[in-house]
Amino acid sequence: MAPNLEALRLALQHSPDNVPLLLLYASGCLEEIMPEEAEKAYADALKHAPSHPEARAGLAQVALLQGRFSEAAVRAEQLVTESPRYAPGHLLLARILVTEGELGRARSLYDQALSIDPGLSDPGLEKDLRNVKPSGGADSGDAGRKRAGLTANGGFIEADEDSADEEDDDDGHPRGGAAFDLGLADFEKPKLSFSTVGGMEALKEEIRMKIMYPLQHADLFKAYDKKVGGGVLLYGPPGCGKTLISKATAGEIKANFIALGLHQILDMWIGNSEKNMHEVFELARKNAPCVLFFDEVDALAADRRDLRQSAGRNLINQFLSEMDGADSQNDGVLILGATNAPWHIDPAFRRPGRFDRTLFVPPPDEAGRASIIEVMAEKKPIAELDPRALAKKTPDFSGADLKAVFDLATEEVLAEAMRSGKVVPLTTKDLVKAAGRHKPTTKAWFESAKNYAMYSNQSGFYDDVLKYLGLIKR
Amino acid sequence: MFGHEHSSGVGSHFSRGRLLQSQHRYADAIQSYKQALMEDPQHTPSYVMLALCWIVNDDTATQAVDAAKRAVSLEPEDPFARSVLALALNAQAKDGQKQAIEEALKHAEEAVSIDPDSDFSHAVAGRIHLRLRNYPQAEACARKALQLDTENTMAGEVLSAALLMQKKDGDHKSLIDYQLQRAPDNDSAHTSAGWQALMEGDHKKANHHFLEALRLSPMSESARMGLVESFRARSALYRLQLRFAHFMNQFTEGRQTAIMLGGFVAYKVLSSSLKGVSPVLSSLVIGAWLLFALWSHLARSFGSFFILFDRFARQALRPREFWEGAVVGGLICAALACLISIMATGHPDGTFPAMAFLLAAVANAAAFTNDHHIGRHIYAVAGAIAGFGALYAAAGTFFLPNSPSHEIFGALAVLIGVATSWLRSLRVLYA
Repeated sequence: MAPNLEALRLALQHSPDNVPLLLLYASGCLEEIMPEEAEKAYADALKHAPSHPEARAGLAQVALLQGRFSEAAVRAEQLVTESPRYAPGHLLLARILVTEGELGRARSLYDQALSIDPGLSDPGLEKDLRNVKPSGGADSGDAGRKRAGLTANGGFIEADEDSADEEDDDDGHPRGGAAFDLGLADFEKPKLSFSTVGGMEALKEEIRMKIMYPLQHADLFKAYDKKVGGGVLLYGPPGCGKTLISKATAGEIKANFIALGLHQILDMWIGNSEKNMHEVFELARKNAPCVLFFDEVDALAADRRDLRQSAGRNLINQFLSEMDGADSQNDGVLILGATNAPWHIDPAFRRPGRFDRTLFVPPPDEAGRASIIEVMAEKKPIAELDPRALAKKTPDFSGADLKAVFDLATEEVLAEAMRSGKVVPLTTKDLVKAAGRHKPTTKAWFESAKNYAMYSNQSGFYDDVLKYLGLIKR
Repeated sequence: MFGHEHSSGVGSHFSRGRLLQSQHRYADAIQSYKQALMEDPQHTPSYVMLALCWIVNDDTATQAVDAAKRAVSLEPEDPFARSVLALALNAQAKDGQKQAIEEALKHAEEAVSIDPDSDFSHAVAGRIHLRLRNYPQAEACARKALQLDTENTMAGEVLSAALLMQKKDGDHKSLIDYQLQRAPDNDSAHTSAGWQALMEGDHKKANHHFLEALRLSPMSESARMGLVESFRARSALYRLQLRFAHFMNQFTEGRQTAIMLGGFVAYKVLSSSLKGVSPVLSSLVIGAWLLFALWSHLARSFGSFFILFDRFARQALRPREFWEGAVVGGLICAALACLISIMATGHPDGTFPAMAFLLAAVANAAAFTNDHHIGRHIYAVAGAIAGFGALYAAAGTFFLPNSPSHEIFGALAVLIGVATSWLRSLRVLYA
């Protein structure tokens, strides 16, 4: 057994219910070609987290490795049906289907996997599927769909003729059509709320004032002939919880939540990106009240001066037109955009009626960091933890930075565990030491932001950044 | 530049990469180009664009060179790929690594010889000539590039800098007027206008242009540097210094060294010949020379020191410039404090630590302004030793008279200061 695997096995003896540890151990076993051990670990993980997609995919993978093709296919089919947004599930099923000669459907599944997560591309599989026309439903193995959607890399997703016009199914959400093509078939009302997000009290209060109260007092707004909804831009350094707070906002106002990334909209086929954008807005309008969340919105709303003659300008014009509700009303649709680079957004998006409200999401405060630390510690073998003490030692650290601190400390402790042959739990001291070795990534962001705030602060757009940096009074 | 292959997966990934790159989303663009290369490992345009994405960040300069080299090995006759390789090599070369920069120039010239009608190749060659301080060649390359494409931004910037550095003020002003008339929102034109105004002593006008350039392009390093210079130039003495530097720019580097050495010889001859005739005049000549020499070394850092007291202006300083102001300004203030204490208390030995502080300031000013890849470390160590020596000498003189060898430490600070002043002037390990 490899030393790393041995250390993980020892760690599991100490913490047998630790699902991430079980998954890590199982995947290590698979790499070392120990399918029985892997299967046991995946099964144990499923006992504690019955719907964990990684564990379910692992079991299917083990079955495939052991030549139990039918079992592998059934497990993967179930996984894809129940977790349609889990890209590795699609990829795995595609691989299984290739071994069974169902190349058309494998192609569809592979395209779907890439449309969810483009980083999953597999040159070997692509070689097998070259020149294969996609066929069949990609997510559930249902009969093929009539509505043909083009994925980011040009593959087709076909829709069933009979079901193409169906918009609702059991849970009241539309399925197929635009939602399906854009990989949004599983959008839902988030269960998160402000109480589940630690810290950020000032920001939450600002969101209540700027977003929630207007929605809750919609009649009052109507009396003044003012629209409810509109656009709010969240900006700040990366890894500071813009997506999380957006989901929590949707959870608080009990609205549907559609989260979109660049890859779901951007399509290199001329005209398709604009079509995708329109369909997303249509979907949100039909499901109002709805929060439409655009992550990394600077990519979709880039400054047109940077694009010159590029076709990307049409997408920006389409976005502007949809935000204005030129052809349809956006009542009840709240458009949230999150970005690390607000300076790359076309100024036209900041005009009234578009992203006219902006919220700066700073790095988590001390209380916020302490909460994040507590959550992160849940998945590690910890001897003693003082989240407050660690939070105090990590000013300006983002959530991502805190994760890096945990990773650094874990690496250090794992090395020690491998030397001694027994589990060495993490302590606050280890984490504080690791924090000293990690520089907060937010600093680089503030260096850039400071320049924009100092020299290009039109209409006080960056006042919150200046306040945070202590350059103007709060 | 490149033919787009919309019908293939490679073309799709590549086009997506181009779009993302134009939106400054370099990490995403790099992913797209890598995906294109996974489909076709021989896709030269993706290698070229990868190199251009990696050039943006100093930490990935080596990767940029590797990608550009791969592109050139796939298509040796592609002038664009070769020019990008030249740019990548130039970005990778540190200040003072003349051979590495000349290697980059070779590729740039090769690109020009492959396609003499490529404005990009000419502009890249001009940019590298500029870094090598070959101003006339840089000017010629930039003019050629602008002949081929009047909107070539890089060529415009190179031409502006080359004209400024040759003191061709008339041509430079015409260029700026032309650029600003054509595009009033051109940040590089405002930056050029700022530098021209600064060299002419109009620091307010310069400040206005630099702020405008930064409003249009807040991350422009050239505009930021100009803004800091315009703040320093609030001092009339610093403006004189800038005008003198601009006057010297019209001469080649060799001539500048000859003028400096000639000036030194003239000062020596004059001071010693006056000694017999009028000791007072001789002392005045010596004092004026020393003041000139010291000021030319300390003016910039002393300017940074005053910026520290301006709440808005100090935000424009990089951490190194901040510490330059704090350390050098602190040492100058310490020297002045020693001189004041002599006048106040009549302490007989106060002159020596004052001199040690002043010359330690000279050594530190050189250390903070040196970008030479090796020299910066040597100068930094020398500056630290000189600073410590001056402090120790002052402590020994004023507070701890029994401290051992404080005079030797003071003398060491003075020696280092004098040596640094000459090495810096002759650009030995100094860039």
